[in-house]
Amino acid sequence: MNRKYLRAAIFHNYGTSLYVGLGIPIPLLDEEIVRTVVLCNEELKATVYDYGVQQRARPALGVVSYAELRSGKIELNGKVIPTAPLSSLEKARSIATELKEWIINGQFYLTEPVASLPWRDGVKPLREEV
Amino acid sequence: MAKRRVVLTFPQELTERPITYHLVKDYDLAINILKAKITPGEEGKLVLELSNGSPEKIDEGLDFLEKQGVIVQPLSKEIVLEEEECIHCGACTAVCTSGALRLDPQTARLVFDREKCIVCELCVPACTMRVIKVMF
Repeated sequence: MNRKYLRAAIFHNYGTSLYVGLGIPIPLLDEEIVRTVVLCNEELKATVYDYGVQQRARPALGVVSYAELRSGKIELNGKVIPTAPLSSLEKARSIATELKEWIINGQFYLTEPVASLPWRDGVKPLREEV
Repeated sequence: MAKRRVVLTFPQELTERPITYHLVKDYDLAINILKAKITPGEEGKLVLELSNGSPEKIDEGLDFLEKQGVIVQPLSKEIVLEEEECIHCGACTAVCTSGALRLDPQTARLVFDREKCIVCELCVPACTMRVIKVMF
């Protein structure tokens, strides 16, 4: 555990939150996993929602790729819209690099699970506070 | 080439007269309007960047403005970023319309270009780590 990867955050008009940096090694067990992990930003798609719509089943405005999102602007219904991230790619890369070093140096071990993660069905919605 | 940023306050009676035009015509200065709020019949505020002249020419131009009744103050506010505490999430880049705050596409690190900053202060509440501050 390192403070670099666990930080308190404040979202304006929402409240407090926590940035959690987590590194998960993915074992390449079969071709299907390999095919999935080599997907590039152009192939990763995200659906655009309007968070101004105050209902859980928000209408989808369109689908864009991560490459488009990272470029700083997307085109949606003929309009150019600026984009910005909220999670840190810089931190993600530094976590991945650190984890890679552990694995290469033989410092990362697979163990039996300590406990299973709590599992429950459905999505826990975030309620907006104004 | 000298460059200076100033905050100009136009009292009510001056808002309907062309004044900054003289900076260009008579003092040969290049003016770049960074921020403006001018309503005829009310007080006006203008944040300008003056360049293209010697420090003396800029002083002369500003003297002229003061003689006309414009209050001239240096743009002393500044945005400061505590870089070692920044996590480079990019939330501030969403509100930075001047393009002073942006993520480097290669390193994914936040880059702050002070030259482009117009001190609009929108990034201050947008920063999730509260590491962007206004300094006076």
